[in-house]
Amino acid sequence: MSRKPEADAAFSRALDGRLRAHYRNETLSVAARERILANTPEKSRGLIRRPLFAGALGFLLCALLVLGGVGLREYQTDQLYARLADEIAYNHRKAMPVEFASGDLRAIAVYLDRLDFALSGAQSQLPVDARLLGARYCKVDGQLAAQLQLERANGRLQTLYVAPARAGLAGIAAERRIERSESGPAASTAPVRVVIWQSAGLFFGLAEDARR
Amino acid sequence: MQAGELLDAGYRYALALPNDREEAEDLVQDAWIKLHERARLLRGRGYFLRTIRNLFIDRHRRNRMILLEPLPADDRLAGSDDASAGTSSAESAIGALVQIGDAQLHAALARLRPEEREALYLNAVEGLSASRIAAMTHRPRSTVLSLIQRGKHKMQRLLHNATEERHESQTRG
Repeated sequence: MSRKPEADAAFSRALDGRLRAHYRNETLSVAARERILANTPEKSRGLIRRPLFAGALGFLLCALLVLGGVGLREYQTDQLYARLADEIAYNHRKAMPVEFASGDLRAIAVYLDRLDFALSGAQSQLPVDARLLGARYCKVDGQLAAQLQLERANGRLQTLYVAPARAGLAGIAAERRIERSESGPAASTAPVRVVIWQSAGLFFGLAEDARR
Repeated sequence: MQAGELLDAGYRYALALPNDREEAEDLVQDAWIKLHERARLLRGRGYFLRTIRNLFIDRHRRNRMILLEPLPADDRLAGSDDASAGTSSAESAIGALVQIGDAQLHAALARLRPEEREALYLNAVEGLSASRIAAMTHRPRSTVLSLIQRGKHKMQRLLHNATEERHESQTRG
């Protein structure tokens, strides 16, 4: 049996080792290194970053951008809910009387004929134990809306605001419960509990006094 | 990686191309300047080595020297099929590897073609696989494997011949 392959392999390993030792002893002369570095911009003489580092840096920046984008969007949504809750709580506190007293949503829809959306879509969103007392016009986020007065089975009075989910109101999706109090030491009224949601293209805001 | 380490790594690779220290220094300097002019420090060692290689090829193309060309199909080493001769050649070459100094090894490497020297360097010193060398040098992997094998056979023959010559001179002496 031939010993040639084993001998060749042994030589190959020996040559590799010798080449490593040979080349690793080779370094740029001090004069050449100084000459090269003297022509290098000052800021580049320090650490030369590896591609891995650059990749990691790029990944980190992308992640920050994505997280920043998600965070910003979340923040803007929070701000929208808070602003609308403030507006609805403010309207609820004013306790304006109804313009048209009726327990029939279809009759109210006929009366509020300036609305540019079908108020009948609110029927499915009325609480099952609620009695409709009447309605008036109002504005939510600058849009003409319906303000419905409700009385629940436990006697609590609630105001339901209905508007088309357009413009800023289109940003409302998931239901959120928010409690709003008047700020400052002079606050005299009870806090208002507001629930905001969207359904079938309509915006809904339900408000009631929180301490009752 | 510090600038000094990167320069040395580039120099070693450059040395494997022309096998000439002065030319290797020039290549490193030119590649370093190029790297800074184009603000590509972030690309690191691999990019620096590729820049050195491209400069080497450009320089020799300008000088109309034919280098780094495809391997001829009949580039076989005389006697390499002879099993017993091959065994003794390998053994004496291993002996020569132990005995010879860096200057003699450098001289033996100078007898290789640049592409063979480059493939040996990248494989043995940089520890790159044939596939990675193929990607870096834009050659088929099979060609890289041939370059490494032929480079080693040539080194074996050169070192074996050097041993034989030394024996003969000792016998005469």
